[in-house]
Amino acid sequence: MDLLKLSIPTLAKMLREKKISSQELVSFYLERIKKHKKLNAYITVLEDAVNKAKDIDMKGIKNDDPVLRGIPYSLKDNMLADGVKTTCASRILENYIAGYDSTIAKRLKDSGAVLLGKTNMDEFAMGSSNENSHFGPVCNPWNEKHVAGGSSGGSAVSVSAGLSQFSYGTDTGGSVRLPASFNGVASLKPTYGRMSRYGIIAFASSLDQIGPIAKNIEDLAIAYDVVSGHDPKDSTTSIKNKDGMYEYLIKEVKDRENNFSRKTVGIPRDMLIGGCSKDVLNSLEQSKKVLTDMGFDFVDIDLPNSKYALAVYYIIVTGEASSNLSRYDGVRYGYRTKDYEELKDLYSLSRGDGFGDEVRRRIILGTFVLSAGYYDAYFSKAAKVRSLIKKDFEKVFEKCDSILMPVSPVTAFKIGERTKDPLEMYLSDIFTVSANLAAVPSLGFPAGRDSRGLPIGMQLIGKHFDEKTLFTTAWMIQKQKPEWFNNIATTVKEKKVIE
Amino acid sequence: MKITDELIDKIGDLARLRIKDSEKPRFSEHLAEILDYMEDLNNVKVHNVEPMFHGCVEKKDLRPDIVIPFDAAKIMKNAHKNKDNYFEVPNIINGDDQ
Amino acid sequence: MNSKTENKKGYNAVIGLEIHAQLSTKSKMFCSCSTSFGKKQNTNICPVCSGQPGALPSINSRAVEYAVRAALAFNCKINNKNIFARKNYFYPDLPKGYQISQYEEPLAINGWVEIGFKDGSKKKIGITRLHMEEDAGKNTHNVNESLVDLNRSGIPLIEIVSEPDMRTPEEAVAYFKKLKTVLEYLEVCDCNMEEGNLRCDINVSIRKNEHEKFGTKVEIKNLNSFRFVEKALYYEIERQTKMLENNEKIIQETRLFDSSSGITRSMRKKEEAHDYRYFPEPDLLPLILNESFIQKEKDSMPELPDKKCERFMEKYLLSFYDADVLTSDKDISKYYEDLVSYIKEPKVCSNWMQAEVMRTLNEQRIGIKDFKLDHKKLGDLIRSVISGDINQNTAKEVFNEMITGGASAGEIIDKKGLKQISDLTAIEKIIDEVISESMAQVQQYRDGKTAVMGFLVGLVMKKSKGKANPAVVNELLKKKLT
Repeated sequence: MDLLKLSIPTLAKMLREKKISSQELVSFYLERIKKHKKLNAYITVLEDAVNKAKDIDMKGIKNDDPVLRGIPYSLKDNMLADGVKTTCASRILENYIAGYDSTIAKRLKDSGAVLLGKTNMDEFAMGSSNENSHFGPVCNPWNEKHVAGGSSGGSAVSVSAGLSQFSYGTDTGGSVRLPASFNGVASLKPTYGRMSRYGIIAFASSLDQIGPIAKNIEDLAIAYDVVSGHDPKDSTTSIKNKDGMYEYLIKEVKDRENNFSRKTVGIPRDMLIGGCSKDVLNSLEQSKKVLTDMGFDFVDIDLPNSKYALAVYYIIVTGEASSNLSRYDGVRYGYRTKDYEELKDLYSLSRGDGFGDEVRRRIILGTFVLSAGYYDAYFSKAAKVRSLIKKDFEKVFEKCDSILMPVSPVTAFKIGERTKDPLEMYLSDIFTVSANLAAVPSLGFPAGRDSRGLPIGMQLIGKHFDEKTLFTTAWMIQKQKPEWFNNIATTVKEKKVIE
Repeated sequence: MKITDELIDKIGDLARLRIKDSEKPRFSEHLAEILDYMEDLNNVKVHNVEPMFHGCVEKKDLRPDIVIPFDAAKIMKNAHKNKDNYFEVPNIINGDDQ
Repeated sequence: MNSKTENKKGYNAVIGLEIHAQLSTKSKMFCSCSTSFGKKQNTNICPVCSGQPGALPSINSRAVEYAVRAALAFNCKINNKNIFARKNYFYPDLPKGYQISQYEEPLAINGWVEIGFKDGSKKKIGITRLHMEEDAGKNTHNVNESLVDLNRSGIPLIEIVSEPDMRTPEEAVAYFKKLKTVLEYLEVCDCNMEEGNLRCDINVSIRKNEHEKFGTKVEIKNLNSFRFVEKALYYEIERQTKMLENNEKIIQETRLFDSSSGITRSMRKKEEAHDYRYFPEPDLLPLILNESFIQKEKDSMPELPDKKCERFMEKYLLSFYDADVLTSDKDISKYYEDLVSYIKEPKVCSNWMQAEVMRTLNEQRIGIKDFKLDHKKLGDLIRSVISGDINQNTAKEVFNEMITGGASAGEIIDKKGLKQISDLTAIEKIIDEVISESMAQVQQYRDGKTAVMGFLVGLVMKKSKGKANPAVVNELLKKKLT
């Protein structure tokens, strides 16, 4: 029995039939985490998870218990869990012990899922390759010389390397979808307002969303269901009803067999010209073919302002981040320099030494775009262009139900390849930031490999609060292309199974 | 855009973020490159366009005025310097700040 | 209009006030921590108000209601769409590194209040804006270190910014007092200035005449008493006058008032002024206040001091001055109305309130809620004056005894036998005795030395142990002697 191939519903069934215990499952993953330490996927591993699992086994898992009861997962290290170290991969929070539960941690705790540990990431979620961590880069399990993608690299690797059943990252401009695509796993950046950000260390508040990462669509749906929905502690969450996505999918399969309503998919051809590797473009055509064969219609669409998305994105995120990161000042918690006499030195040196290069670069940039004399030309202007980008999407969605495009123009690049030029690194987000700016949902799914065997990821972008269309479409793709899903890097390698 | 050391100093001061002299050339170069890239936005016309500052706009009920106590010890535990349950900083009464 | 506005050297002051009032909600502006005062340091704190990583603000509905009520009372235009903004700066009492406030689209704009003067004249002071924000924590200072207490951090505030409409320290104080009165009427702020519920920043400049443009303004920060506002303004106007007289240039700066020495000191020059980098708070959605909500708050508004003052003048036939004094404190106005409804005689009640009662409150430094006599006890006393049982002077004695001991007016009057003798035969008897014992003086009177009358009345009063009704004595004695 290969545990790594099993989905959450299967495991849930086995746990209820006592074919496996939660303790066995958790121990299995903890062992693997130890074995694959050099991938550097975790910052904190909770050995105590075994005891939690034991507890659950003792109390028993009943049929009507939440489906996740007893199933292990991981959290990006920018999500607080009461009593657990939360570093945000930064020196400035190196020893910070969370004093409260984030809403996501609370909801998962209530569901009975077992937290294995906190995953590595780019410091303060700022990065596209997971090379900006105070705890070192995360390696891509498909080829350890390559990056895992960022900023939720540890979370993506924890799933793709079989170090967790499922995981959560945060996606501000692609930080869930990009590493998931580099790792060959599925991911979701929900509509802004679907997920509570309470207890998530803020990067850019108007864009940050939690996103689940899983090896297949049913796991992704379950992971999405358990944490989504309104939270009074986060004023920016929507009061719209959450969809029971997994239930819906199970039902949808039946419907599809009976009366499947055709949907239209748009492809932004202009955006893809230049930059995209041949393998990525081929993969896009494959996905298109799969959908066409199932009766989907395709139209070419135009998102004219998307060419400004990256500039808009980096102005808004750095502006918001410069303010969000002001609280890390060495006064109440976190790193404090020893080298101070005056308050000003306490601040400047604690922050100067506590934050890494990329974080400091963004704070400087963000402080600049908000400062007197520059606010209108940069921050306010960017917010206006953001409106235009959002309007582009609204217009496009009059013609189609979702948009299909690659997550990234290229597959995972080599570690160190882009670190010297920040702007080149920023360009990795070129296909992902628009969805964040427009606040629309985007589902990333694995779509084969490139010539070097590195995973390629596609994304489906949908209308506001229409995750259903995305899940349904991805679910159908998974039915047609099961070989794209449930691939665990190290298993493949260990068994010498090459696609 | 030309990024002078003075500008880096000014911004670093506003952000209470030390940038060492040795780091300034690198920071300036990167900032200049990024800001140049952002110049692209000058090509967009935004007359009468409402800025989008929020990810979600909805009318919602506000929080009721109810007290829910929190175990403050969990917060004080992380305090770097904590004197009689106060957070401690250098004397600021004669300081230059605020 | 309030007397003349220029000082001896002929300079005019231009004064604007920024008032911060803590709203008397149970929980803080953006979290569920208690707002109660005087708790051990850093115990009323949570992840939100102590700026922990990941914590998010959530707006207190009652704070919004209170702020809207205040805005309505100050005749402001309420914005239907409210945007919260971050004001970014670093200071140890500011845990997030920014204060959540309002900037470009505040709660309310364009209001006014009216201040009144002794002579009955009135002046409108404009209110530029009224917005919601959160309070900072509190720093205390030792020799080597400063200590931060965040219990106050996140308490809801409204900031009320006036137009530069005031011309004298007295006007500024009258305005500040008026705001306090209104906030108390609304019951949205405890207005305990010693606890810092109500604080004031002043902007002041001077100029040679009314038609000149404003001079360079100086800001004086954080004053928490009317007296300090007045003193600081007098000092500052004087200081600026001297500077201009010496051809010195006034610099735009922030100054602090030192209450022990009574002077202001420079704290921060303009060139060091902060660049607050305001931007809309992304963690809080725009707050939409629809008309029905505003109407609901309007409907729940109590009678405000201006209206009540008018009503007192009309209903109780009081002068503006009397009505103004009686309505400048909500509890006093209520006490007064209870008193009037108990014994009628509004003018007599007004005199008693303004003389004995308010003097006592001042001496004892208490509010009327803590005043020993309820309106019935005081009413009974006033009634015995009206009925002629005791005279005004005796009544004051009785009053003093009532506020120290616990007895009622009737008990004191009976126990001490203070009841006036108005019975004609009893007084006549005493007068006859006095006449027979003081024949010499009686003769003098009859010879035309009428001044001796006082002496004779005195003797009668003495014999009656002060209980004889002096008016009756006077009248009878005159009759007997002629």
